[in-house]
Amino acid sequence: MLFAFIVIGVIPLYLFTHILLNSYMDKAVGNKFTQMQNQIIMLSNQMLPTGYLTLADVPEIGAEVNRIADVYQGRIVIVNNNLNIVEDTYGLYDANKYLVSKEVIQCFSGNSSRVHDKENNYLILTQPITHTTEDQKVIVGAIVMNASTKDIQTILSTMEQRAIIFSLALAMFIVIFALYFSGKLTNPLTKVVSSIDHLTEGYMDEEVSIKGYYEIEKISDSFNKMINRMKKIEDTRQEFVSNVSHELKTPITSIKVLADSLLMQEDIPVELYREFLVDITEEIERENKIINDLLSLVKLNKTAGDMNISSININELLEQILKRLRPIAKKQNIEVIYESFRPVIAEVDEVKISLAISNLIENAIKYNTPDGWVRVSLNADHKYLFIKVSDSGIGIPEEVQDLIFERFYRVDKARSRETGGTGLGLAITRNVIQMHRGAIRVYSKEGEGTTFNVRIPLNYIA
Amino acid sequence: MRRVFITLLFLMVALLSSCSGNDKNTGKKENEYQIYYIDSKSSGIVSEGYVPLENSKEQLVIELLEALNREPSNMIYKKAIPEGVTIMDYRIVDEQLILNFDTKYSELKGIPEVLCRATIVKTLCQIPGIDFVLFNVNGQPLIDSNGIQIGLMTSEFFIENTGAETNYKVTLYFANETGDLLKKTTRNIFYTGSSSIEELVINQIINGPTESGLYATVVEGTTLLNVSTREGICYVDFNEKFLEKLPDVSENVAIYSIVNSLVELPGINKVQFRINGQPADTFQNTNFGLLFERNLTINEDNQ
Repeated sequence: MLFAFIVIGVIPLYLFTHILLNSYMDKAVGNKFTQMQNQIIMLSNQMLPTGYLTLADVPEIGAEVNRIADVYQGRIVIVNNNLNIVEDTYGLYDANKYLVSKEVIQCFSGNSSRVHDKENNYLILTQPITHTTEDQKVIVGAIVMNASTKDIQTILSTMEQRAIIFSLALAMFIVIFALYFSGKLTNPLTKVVSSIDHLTEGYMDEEVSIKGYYEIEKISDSFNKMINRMKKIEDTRQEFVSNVSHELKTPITSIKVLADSLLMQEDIPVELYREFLVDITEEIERENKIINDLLSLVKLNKTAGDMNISSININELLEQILKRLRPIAKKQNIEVIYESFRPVIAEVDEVKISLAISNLIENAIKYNTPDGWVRVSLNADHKYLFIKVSDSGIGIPEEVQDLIFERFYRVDKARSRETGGTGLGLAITRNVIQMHRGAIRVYSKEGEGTTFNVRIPLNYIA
Repeated sequence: MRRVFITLLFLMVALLSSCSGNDKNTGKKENEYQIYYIDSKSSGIVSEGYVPLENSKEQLVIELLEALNREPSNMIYKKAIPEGVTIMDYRIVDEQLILNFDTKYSELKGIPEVLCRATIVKTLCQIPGIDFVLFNVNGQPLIDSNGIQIGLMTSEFFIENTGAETNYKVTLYFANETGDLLKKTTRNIFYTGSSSIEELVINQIINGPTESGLYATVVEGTTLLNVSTREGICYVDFNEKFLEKLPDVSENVAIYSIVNSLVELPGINKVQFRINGQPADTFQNTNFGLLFERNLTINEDNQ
């Protein structure tokens, strides 16, 4: 990762420097060649009227040639049309030698040549000496001029050195930056990882708080939300377990008390035995009911796919439930009204829906005032069926209206015990309705009454 | 970590392959001569290898002349001797070979004539025992297009490349053991004509002697910035390192090691020094601003 950073940073810089320096060199060399060419042309013009090329001694030309060679720190070799070497400023060749190089011979066809010897740092310009008259151009000789590129080279070397230093500095900077940056990036992630590890070991109290980059913060926020949710679930589970054991224990305790008190006394009349046994039986029945409710709740939870869907006449279903519950209502002198706006057939699980609606209506009856009323209404549109269960009961306080669907939750513990409640009814009801992909809402005002609205799709959606 | 390893591996392979690429300079076959021809665009001299059958000087001359008269195997080359030109006879006198051409040779003029001559001379001078070639036309010495009589020619007369290496003999002066006198030595250096001869000589002094008994006269790290000669005076520009002077060498020895070596070159009589482009007044305790001439008294040979 670090390596990639360095490569990405340094290579473009290197390429850029290379290209820049090369174009500088090309330009500088081109300029130099042009200058050299100009000098040569001027020299040629001076030379032509004299007999210099035929080896006559012309000191002014000789001096001029030497001066130019000196200025360019190079060497000038002049050749006549017989390839005789007329002049060599280095003094290596003299007049009885011939220069038969390719470039010189090509000069006599009119081609000048420019060669840049990069290894030895000099330029070679080979230029014809042309005698132009009105009718013709005659090439009478050639000049070969060497010039040193030391001055260009010095500048290039300095620039190259600077570029290298800069690249190295940049690379170092990138390394430091990358190390720091990747540390900063991976640090929060590492923290998240270690928190997760902690969590799997069982510690639920870790919260990760990571400041810095937006995305990292989002990760830590989501993570914290998840941890809270898990904490809540864990708490709920523990609460449920303690609730269950408490609920199961209570009837058992009552039975024990009753039995003990019977055993403790002697000479108890048979009526007392009978009375106590009735109580004991009631408690046992209570316990049974709780266990059954629990079982059905657990079953509902586990087997979400175990729906027994069939087309049920909802009107008939409701009438059956009401028939069963009327005696209980009559005991409290509660009027039960059934309203049906139209016949309704829906794809539901008969047993489960029956249980759910029964719970609602039972509650309506249980938590009612004497001489109160319960109204059950059934309606439907082309998509849903609507069941409304209203009562004139004691109502539910606003702050706990969300909690009533929780398992074992009872607004008034004392009251529900009297009426034989387990606290599981609404939990079961809500579960069933959810399994049908329906919805349930509660509206209530303390002292006035409660209404439960249930909506279930007519066609079962899996 | 793995990537570091792979990079290292690459580098090693690159190094090794560049090493092995250097011994391609296998020598030519023994007894191989180069026969010279002309590039078909008539723009230069080229050569092809040839192994002769004969051994003696005379026989080799005949054989090589025959080879020169044949068309070369390479398509773009052609022989330098034009059709119709023949050698009437030849004579070998010591190391000289005298070729007598027929009058048709006079029809050759200018550059083609020079090239023809060049190929013949360069080819034949390879024969051991032949160092000079003389051209005659119909018994008379050859006269070129400018009216000049051409005398004895050697292979070096025809230069193929201004940058070609020539062997140059230079005389250099270094310090003796006690550092108060100069000792002379000569060296053969390969001179490519890419820098001036003065530059070469001075750099030889700076680099120091290789022979035993001779000692360096100039501080290491001294660089020659510029040298130019005008009307017999050589202007030498050193960087400031020169002023440091080696401890076991006298000032005069340091100065005259340069001066005497330069004055050995033709065209230089005096030397003037500069430091970093500026004239310098003193070098240690001596006057450095004057025009230095050859100093014979400081040479060990002249004691």
